[in-house]
Amino acid sequence: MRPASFEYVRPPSTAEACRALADGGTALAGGQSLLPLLKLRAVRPALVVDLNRITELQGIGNGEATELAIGAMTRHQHVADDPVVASAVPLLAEAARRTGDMQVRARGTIGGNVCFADPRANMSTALVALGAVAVVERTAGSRQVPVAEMFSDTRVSALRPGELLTRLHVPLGAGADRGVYLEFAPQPNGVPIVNVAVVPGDGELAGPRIAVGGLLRTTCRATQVEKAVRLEGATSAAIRRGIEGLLADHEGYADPRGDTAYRARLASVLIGRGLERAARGPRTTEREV
Amino acid sequence: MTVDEMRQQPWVGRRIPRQEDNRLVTGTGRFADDVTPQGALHCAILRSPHPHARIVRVDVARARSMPGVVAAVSGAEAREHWAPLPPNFALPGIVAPRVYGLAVDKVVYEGEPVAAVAATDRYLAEDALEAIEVEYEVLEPVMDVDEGAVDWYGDGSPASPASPRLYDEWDDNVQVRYDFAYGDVERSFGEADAVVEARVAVHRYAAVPLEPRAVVAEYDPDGRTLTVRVATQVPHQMRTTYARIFGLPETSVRVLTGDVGGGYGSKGQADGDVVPILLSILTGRPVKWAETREEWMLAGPVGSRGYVHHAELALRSDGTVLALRDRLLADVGCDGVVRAIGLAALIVGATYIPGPYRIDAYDVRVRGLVTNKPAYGAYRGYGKDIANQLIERLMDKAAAALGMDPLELRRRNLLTEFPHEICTGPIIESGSFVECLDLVQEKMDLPALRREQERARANGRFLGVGVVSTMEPSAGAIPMSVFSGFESATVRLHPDGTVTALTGLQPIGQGVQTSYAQVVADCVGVSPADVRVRWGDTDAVPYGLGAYASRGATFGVAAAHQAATEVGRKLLLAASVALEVTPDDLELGGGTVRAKGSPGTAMDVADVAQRTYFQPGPYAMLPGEKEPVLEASAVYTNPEVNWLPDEHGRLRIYPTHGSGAMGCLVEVDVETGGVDVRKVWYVHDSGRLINPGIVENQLIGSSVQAFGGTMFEQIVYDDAGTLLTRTLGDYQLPNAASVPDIEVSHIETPSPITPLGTKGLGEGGHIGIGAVLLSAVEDALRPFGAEVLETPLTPPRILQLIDRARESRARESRAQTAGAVRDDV
Repeated sequence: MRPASFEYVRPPSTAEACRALADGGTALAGGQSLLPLLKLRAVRPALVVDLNRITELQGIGNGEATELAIGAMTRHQHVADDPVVASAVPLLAEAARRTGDMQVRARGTIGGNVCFADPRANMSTALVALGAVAVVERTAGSRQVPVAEMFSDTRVSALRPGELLTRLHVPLGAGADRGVYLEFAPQPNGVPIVNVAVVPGDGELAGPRIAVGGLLRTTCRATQVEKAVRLEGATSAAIRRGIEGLLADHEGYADPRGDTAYRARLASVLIGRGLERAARGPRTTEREV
Repeated sequence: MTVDEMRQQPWVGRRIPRQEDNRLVTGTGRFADDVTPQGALHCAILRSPHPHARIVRVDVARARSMPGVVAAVSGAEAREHWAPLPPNFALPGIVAPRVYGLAVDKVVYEGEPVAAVAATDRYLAEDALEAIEVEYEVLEPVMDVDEGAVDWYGDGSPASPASPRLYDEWDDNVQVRYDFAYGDVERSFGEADAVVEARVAVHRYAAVPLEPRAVVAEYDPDGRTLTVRVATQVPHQMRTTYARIFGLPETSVRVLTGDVGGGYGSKGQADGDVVPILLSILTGRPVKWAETREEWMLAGPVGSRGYVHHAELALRSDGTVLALRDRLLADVGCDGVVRAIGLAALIVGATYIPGPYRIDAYDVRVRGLVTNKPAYGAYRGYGKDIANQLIERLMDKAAAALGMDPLELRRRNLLTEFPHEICTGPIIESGSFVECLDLVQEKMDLPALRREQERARANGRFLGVGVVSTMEPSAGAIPMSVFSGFESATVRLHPDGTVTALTGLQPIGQGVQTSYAQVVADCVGVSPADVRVRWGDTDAVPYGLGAYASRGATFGVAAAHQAATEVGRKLLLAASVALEVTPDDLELGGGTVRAKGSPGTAMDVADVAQRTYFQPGPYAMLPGEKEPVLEASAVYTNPEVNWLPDEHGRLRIYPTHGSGAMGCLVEVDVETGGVDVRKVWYVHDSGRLINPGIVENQLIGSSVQAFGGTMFEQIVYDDAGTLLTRTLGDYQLPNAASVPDIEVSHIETPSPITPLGTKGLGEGGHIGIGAVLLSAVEDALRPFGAEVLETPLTPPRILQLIDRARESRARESRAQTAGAVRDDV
């Protein structure tokens, strides 16, 4: 339970962090995923790049009325407590609040949660439903990647070598303030078996946006479910058909807490409940699923 | 009551705060891992990645030459320096494998130690492990026991012939065979009006103490002495065991414990902890090993439960139980006798399956089969849970079959007269089973819960209520084992009036320091704050047996009480000389000795003590007394323990038995399969209570552990035998937010066979929770007709139960329709 030896740097700026990452470094954000893996020697980076001194990566900005910019190093508890998040995208606050326990939320970061690419990550599911976009920088420039495209496989992000996730842009409007995050976990504060986020459509034209975690090998936008619901209404049969469509196209996730069939069933139930809640109230922060 | 009167009240029975808590909650306890001697080396252990393999070759040469490495040793090299691990008990029908602290030529579970390193720090030690080369010949692992292939009636034929054998020298993979029968079982089944059958199964989960194993070994090569600071429940037995393994006289071995961060049965044997000791002997330097959580999950004594009953219960139509038959099969991992001590739990289970009910015809067969998993550890409950899980599920099933109220069925069969010898031999010395059941029913307000359930069902919500009886045998004293049946104490009243109480019992969180101080304080008339309880130093305290089988309030307390009573007698004698009042007319309390009825004639205990020792001293204060100082030692044995088999081959290894009843309210979400345990009611009777606060928290703690085990804790391996639940992220323990509200009530029926009327306790919650949760969930799912007989109650399993029940109803209704059609024709 002791890491193998590694080099360690703690750069003060994004530019210097990107240079260290270009040298083959591994980013250390809140340490909630990397540190346990280091201690198990399951990962053995030669160089660890500690991002905790880079102030420009922290905090939540609302400069643009149309979107919210959240620094990648913003802690979960900060997101959970932020008044702008609470009013503009309450489902994101709820997802943050239900991440781990107080200690985990005080250290863990939204960017780390996305980059770890665990298919059950709360923040990823919420961000995908919100249509959030990740800003990814490297020494020679930057690119923007929809969060839905940030995941290559279970615990494999789409970041390329030398890249650093610096910000998440969350578009406002289009029902974002009426979105719902729901999860089902064996016990509170635990990793969920399945989580879903539902953002209702804005008006007649657009239907709801739905994301689901813990169903497939990556967090995903449930486009087949969205389509089925648009065409047939939010019936359990339509949702179920949409889920089957997703599973026909993608490999399902399974672990000792639930096989894919159970996860499919659970996802259907949670999406149904999420759509109902989103339709029912302007704002839902109910604790129970 | 005046303050002075308060001071005169006995301390036993009072809910005083625990003396140990300030130290423990402020992080100033002293656990083995808190100690690092000057110049200590750090041990790391190389573990087998295969669950079943032959060791072809181990080469530690490269590791030995790495920076900071002082010693590296393979199993084959180590064998020259130590004896095999000794079996912890040797009962008929049990076989013990011959194994060493480091595997020599074969590994039988993933994580088995094969080599070890001592280096100047733990990082370098772990680096060096990677330089050790091991060549394995991988063998097919045995990961399950085949219920269908067990030969229940054969004698010695392979129980599961298709499986590869784990131990070359064994005939088969059966580690325990135990059969017992009493009464005319065949005839009773023949005469029965109803017979119910059930397959009741519990999965593998384990004790997960906050503190895993930790050892600091200091061998002094000049004096050939060994001091071992270790997290153990049984320090004296560890001294005996270490002396034997390393060929040292016991006089040269000292074991120290200090604080131990939880045990629950898991810290009752020597296993991996002998490795750092060997390294200390080989290097002549202190060696420290504090294992990681992953090591605990991989290679700790984490096999527990993992059993299945196939049972039948015969009844008359009025609900009278006539006979019981059970076949109990367990997956005992690689071993439950040497590397861990769980195996005898199966025999304890078989002994107590009849439980608190009058059952006079009983036939049980037990088989424990080895598999390529870690050792079968003891865990809170130790078979009493295995018993309760079966008999209580059978009671519910029988009630349903007979159309009787399940509580009424229980009342009809519960023991009401004591002492009562049950068919397997134990004598239930006193109890209040019916009273506990009545009280739990009252506390729950069962009619109101039934109304709430009905309203909820009308709204599509599924509430369920379960009620069970529990019996809590305590203070097990096992013959032919290191878990024998005595306890020791020394009580010393010092000249300044303070008291040292030495106990052979080992605190592992159960409040020994406070409750023993309460008992001793009453005997010598002082406050518990003046009593310092000491333990866990084999050079300081008399040979005692430590903590297992909830024996403290039966054995440990009785020994302390016996010694303190003798000190109190001498104290009164000395005071009678000083006050010129006969001892019979004196009383003790509040730090003084007083003449009864004349409070003016009094003297401080400290004053009497000072006079007894020095001013003028023992010849004047205790003339003629054989041991004229205020000190006494005692060894307590319980008269009800019987190790001589009677004509039925029966022993009595548990002398005291608590009574109880437990109720539970759950809500099941039939869409997600989630179970919300809304409330648990627990009525408990373990005789006279020393400190009700400590007792309550023992009951709650044991309930929470069984709640976790029944609902979501599970140890999972893949088909290749690789552990999937390696961290506490994967192996979920209950957290503060998920633990249900548990309301505890007490009845106090004193035990007639202990000096204070106390009975051992601490496992009760773990005995009843499993059955009551299954019962309540089954009740919630009654509209579907699902039977709930297997754990864990994970959400996928709940949905599966509902699905199966629906399918079987659909089949039945199709069959009925088809039948009706045929009738028409």
